[in-house]
Amino acid sequence: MLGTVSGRHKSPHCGSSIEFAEYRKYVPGDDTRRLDWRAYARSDRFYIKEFEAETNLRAYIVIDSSGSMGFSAGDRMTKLDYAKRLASSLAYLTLQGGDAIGLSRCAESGTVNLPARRNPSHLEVILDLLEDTQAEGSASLPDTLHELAEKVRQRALIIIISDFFYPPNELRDALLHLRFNKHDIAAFQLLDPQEITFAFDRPQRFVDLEGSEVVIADPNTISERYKSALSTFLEATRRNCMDSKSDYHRVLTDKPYDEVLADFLTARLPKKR
Amino acid sequence: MQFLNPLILGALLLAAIPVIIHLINKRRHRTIKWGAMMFLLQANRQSKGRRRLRHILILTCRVLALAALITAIARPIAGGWLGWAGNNSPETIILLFDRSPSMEITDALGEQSKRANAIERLSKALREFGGGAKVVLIDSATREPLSLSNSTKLEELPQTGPSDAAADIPGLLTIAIDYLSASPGENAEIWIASDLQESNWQPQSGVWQSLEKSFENLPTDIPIRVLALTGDSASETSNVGVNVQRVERQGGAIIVDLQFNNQSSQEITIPVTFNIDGGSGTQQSVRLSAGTTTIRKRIELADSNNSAGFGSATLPADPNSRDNLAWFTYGNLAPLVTAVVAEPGTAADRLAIAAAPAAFNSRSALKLTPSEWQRIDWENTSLVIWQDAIPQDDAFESAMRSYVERGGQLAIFPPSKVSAVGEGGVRPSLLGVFFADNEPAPLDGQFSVTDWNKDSGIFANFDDGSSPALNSLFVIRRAPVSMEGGIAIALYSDDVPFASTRRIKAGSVTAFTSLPDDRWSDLLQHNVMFPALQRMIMAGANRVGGARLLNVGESLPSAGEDWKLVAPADAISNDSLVSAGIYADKDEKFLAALNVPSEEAASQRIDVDQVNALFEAKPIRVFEERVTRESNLASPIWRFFAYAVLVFLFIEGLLSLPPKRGGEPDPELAAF
Repeated sequence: MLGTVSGRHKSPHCGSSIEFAEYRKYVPGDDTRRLDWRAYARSDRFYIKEFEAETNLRAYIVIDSSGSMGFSAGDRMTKLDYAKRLASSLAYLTLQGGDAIGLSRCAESGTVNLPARRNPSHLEVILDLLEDTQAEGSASLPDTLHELAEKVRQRALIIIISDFFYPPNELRDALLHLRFNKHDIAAFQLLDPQEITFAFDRPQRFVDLEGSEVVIADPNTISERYKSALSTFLEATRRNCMDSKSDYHRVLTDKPYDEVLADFLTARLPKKR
Repeated sequence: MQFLNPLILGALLLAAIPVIIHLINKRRHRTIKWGAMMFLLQANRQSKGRRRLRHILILTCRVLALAALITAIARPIAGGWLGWAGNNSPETIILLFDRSPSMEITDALGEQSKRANAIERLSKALREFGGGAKVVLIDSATREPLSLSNSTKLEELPQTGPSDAAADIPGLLTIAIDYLSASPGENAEIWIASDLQESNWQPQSGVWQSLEKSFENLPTDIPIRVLALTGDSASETSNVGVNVQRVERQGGAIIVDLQFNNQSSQEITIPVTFNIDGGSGTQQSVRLSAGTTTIRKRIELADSNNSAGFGSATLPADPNSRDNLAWFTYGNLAPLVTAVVAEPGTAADRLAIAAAPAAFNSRSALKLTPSEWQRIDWENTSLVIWQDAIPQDDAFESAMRSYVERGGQLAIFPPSKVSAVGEGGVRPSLLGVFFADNEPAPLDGQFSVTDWNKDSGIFANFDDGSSPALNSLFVIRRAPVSMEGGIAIALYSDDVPFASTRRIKAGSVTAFTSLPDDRWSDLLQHNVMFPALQRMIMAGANRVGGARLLNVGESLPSAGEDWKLVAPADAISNDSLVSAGIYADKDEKFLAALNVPSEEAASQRIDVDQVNALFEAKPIRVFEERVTRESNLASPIWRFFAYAVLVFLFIEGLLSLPPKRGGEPDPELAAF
């Protein structure tokens, strides 16, 4: 990653370092000091050695605090609480690794941004903000992402933690905007198991967490259509993430978040060539 | 529709309970704050219309099921007599009640007659729907409108008791129309309780057309409802009735012609008890074929019995007791008198001989000149023979008319004068009879009688099958006769009547066109005149000698005189319009036997379609009530509502079933 401090994350940019990355054909203008004479001896052609450059990770956590994130069924933690744990854990790990971490909170009242800092004391700031975060009202995650894409000039890792209950096309545009600005995207879509199973035994009065909609519905009659709509949405979300080359994780809040983190971090380890 | 438990209908308000529960439940649903609302709204939108329709249908089924249950409990009775009657709560109900003998037929169990059944149902209907309505009863016997009070019990009225008089339904309707015409503008209905006996309804009579016109002239539409007691055919087919056709005294015996009506399809033998003057009876077994059987019974009288008397023929008890007893009277031994009022001459002599031959002690002839007509003993004369010009005398005409109307027989012969025209050129007539100029037969020719009524009347065949030899008569002069309303009973070869007859109330007048005079014919020869006159004498004998044979409902002779019931002692009424029996005049000089009309034994009924066809445009609602022991409350209409409850609950159950879940799991959710 680009940065002034050497971190532990391999940069995709090739530069001077001790770790060989790959060969490429020599073109006039290359530094001849990087010619690999052994390769020439073997192949009678000129090749330049490329090395991997080690730079700092700059990460931004985007946390959705719209009303829907406040849902939980039974004794489970709400999606927002789950998101907070994920976010705080990621912030801690990032700072421990000497990387910079920032936080953007998407809320009805607007987006609150904490810049990416490497300072360990920045964790406290992040945790304070997370602690103050409440799920309420309707927020616009796509707007927050667009804003982030414009503000963050340097390439960064954008970690989005949300249920993504937004129009898929708006989300897609936002993700592509981030991707266009060369950001790395990791998306955690949080869902409560009951939102998936829609397991109710009798008609309920459903009150919208984000607005004033009230629906009295008989699950027996509406369950299939609900699941169909949800499935269609999830498929669209997945596709949008794939299209934007985002690292997509669909998480149910009954899964221990440490496992989720472990899966995420393990998946991001550089692969041996 | 009417209800037996109308108060329960107040519980129909409970049918709103499902709606109330539905509304309450809407408020009582568990509330859950939901995050994935966008999918819920989307799913809700998709199923909104269908879901709303389903909810409406479920609620509707529940409400209807409850309403149907309450209605069934309230016992609607639209299908029964009580539901049929009294839908519109009229102000006046004219009740035409058939209490003719045929209404005494009992049901199969022998427990209740059609009349009693009708009273029971009508009483119930009047209790249920007659509150406030004025009820006017017109029974078939007395035919007098009788206003009933609210507390009147139909079964206690003598006007609803049994009677021996035939019912005249068109006549009752006429009386009802007259009553309604006197009270125009009333919201009225006519109820008819009858067994639809054809002879009572006379469906072929033209009177129905005039009745329909009369109804159209009434200011308001008057619905007509018929409670048809069509009865149980099983009991009717075991009924036997008896009727007296003819009675004749022959010296010390009486000859009675009885007609039996066997309703069964089999030949039966029944005992018949004959009773004279209330004494002990004699029994005789009589074999009856199916249908009608006529027998002639000779009953010997006691040697000392010279006076008039009465008797009866009684059958064993059967489903209808009213037609099991036939009454008859017989005359005294006094000779039957014929008054021969004729111009002196051969014709008068011969007519007197034909009326009272010397060998007949039971006959006597009183010869009078035309001017002596006032000497006729009208009460004791069986036959009056007039042979002379018809006088233009109102008193004469009136006396003759009165005599004939009261049962007398009048035989008119042409005058021997050449011209029958009277004074002033006016052709006089007597009771619609007048003669044309007499005419001789063609030279070397004669007038021949070629056709006559051989089945009935004075020229009918004799018992041995032989016939009077009218075709042997030698007629050389005749006076053609015109008879207003008469029918020819014998014709000359040129279709000119030889004799014509006309019935006037109880009696009849017969006009002949020739004389028993050599200058006219050999009328006294060939066994023609004698049997004819004797038959007329016998017909007239019913009103003299103390013996008369009538049907209940016919006027007794000498209207205005008090007639009292002599027998039976246990008659249903002393009223001759109601009860059959033997009646005597106040002087006890004359006896009259009143019987149940023979047509009451006829089993022909008209059906509902024939009732509806009586009027072209005016509908008649008929409720056909079989005389059974079936409960009057067992109307099928409540079952309809009970089935409706089941149907609605079944549909509601089907609609409430949760939709099938299954099918292919959504791929995105499959991982979960």
